[in-house]
Amino acid sequence: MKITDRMSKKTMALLVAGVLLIAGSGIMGTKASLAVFSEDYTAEFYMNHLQVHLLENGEDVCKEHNTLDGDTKVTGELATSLGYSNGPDGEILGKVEPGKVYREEIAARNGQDIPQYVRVTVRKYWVETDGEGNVLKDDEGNPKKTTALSPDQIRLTYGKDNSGAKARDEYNSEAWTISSEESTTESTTYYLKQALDGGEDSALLFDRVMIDGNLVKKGKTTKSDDGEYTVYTYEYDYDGYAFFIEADMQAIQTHNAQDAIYSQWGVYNVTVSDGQLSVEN
Amino acid sequence: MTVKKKALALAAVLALCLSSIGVTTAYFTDYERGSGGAVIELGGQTKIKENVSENNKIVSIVNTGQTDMIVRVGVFSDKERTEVEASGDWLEGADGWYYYRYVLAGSEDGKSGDSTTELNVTVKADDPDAVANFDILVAHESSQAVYDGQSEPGADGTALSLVAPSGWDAKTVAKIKKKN
Repeated sequence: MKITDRMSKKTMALLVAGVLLIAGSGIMGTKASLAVFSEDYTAEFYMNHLQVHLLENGEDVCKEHNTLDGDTKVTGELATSLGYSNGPDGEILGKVEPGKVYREEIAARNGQDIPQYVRVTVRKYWVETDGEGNVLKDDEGNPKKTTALSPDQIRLTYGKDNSGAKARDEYNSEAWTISSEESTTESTTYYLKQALDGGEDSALLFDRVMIDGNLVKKGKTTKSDDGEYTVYTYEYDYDGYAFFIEADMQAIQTHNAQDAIYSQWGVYNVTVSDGQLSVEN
Repeated sequence: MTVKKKALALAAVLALCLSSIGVTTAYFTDYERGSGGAVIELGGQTKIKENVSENNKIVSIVNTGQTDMIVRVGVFSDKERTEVEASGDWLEGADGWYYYRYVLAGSEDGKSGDSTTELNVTVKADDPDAVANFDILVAHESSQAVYDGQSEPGADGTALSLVAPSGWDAKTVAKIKKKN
């Protein structure tokens, strides 16, 4: 009984020591293997992404467009050919003459190497000014729009010849198509009919802008006498307003494009096949 | 009960799987926006100067507004006894009005705008009494210069054609040009 007792004590001690050893070595082993695995799993990968640019007169309106770093600046200025520039307080300088034609070439550029489908929503509207060329802002800091004046007087056109604004096309219908379901009197959405390949520029959507001379017809004349001469004063309804053009250029992947367009743009009247896009109106 | 529970659990797992599929199906998109505009300046002001001396009435018009204007002058009197002396700067329209052939440029302060050359209206009469009782009515009209939208962008003033205001002689207005 005593021997057995002693034996079992020895056995127990050995057992404990063995277990401790195994446990210790096991922990060490695990640590080592963990370190090795964590290094193995550190990997970087690059994913292709889309990049679309809005071009005005051949220039990207936004010079710092970058969708990789998340810190994006994707808005720029339009209507730069009208001789206006922003003053120190954001006021609009320069003036536009009715019926005079200005260059306004709008197109898309694929800034990456994979093809994309493109659409652009163009808005035209009038905003109020303080009479000194400063645009009035609404409560949210956006230009204060007026609905009293017609956006139709802001005429964006396209045409190879120049046989008059009335004869010119409203847009380049060879390369672009209108989605009337997404359009209103103030806003029109155009889709590029063909997928835009990597690095390519699209055909122009518009190439000219002018303010229709018709708006000079809405107004009144007053006659007065300053003692020496007769003075005629002409006032028109559109005086002191500024017109605005806005373009929102969007691109989407060509792979599985039909589903992508449903999912991301929420439109069901657009169909794509073999790089061709069509809109059912 | 257990069958129902199993079915429920399966449904929950499926729902979880499907929802996670929905999340992973993100599509590649991108956008870029631009906006801009300009003030449209309309309206205008012109003054007519009439100097009367003996049997003469000398008329000229000055642009005292900020916008570019076109002007015309009508002389209403007995045609046989009046003579209108207009230099080459004035064009006689088919409607009998005299159209100034240049656009009168406006000025920011309204003080340094263009002026027309003089239009001289003379009464042909030897008898001074007849001159004293003779009426000449001179009418003046002006309109903001409105272009016809058919020029090339950036075209200079001489290449731009104007639209005739209603009631004006379109053929004569088409000859009015901006001075360089």
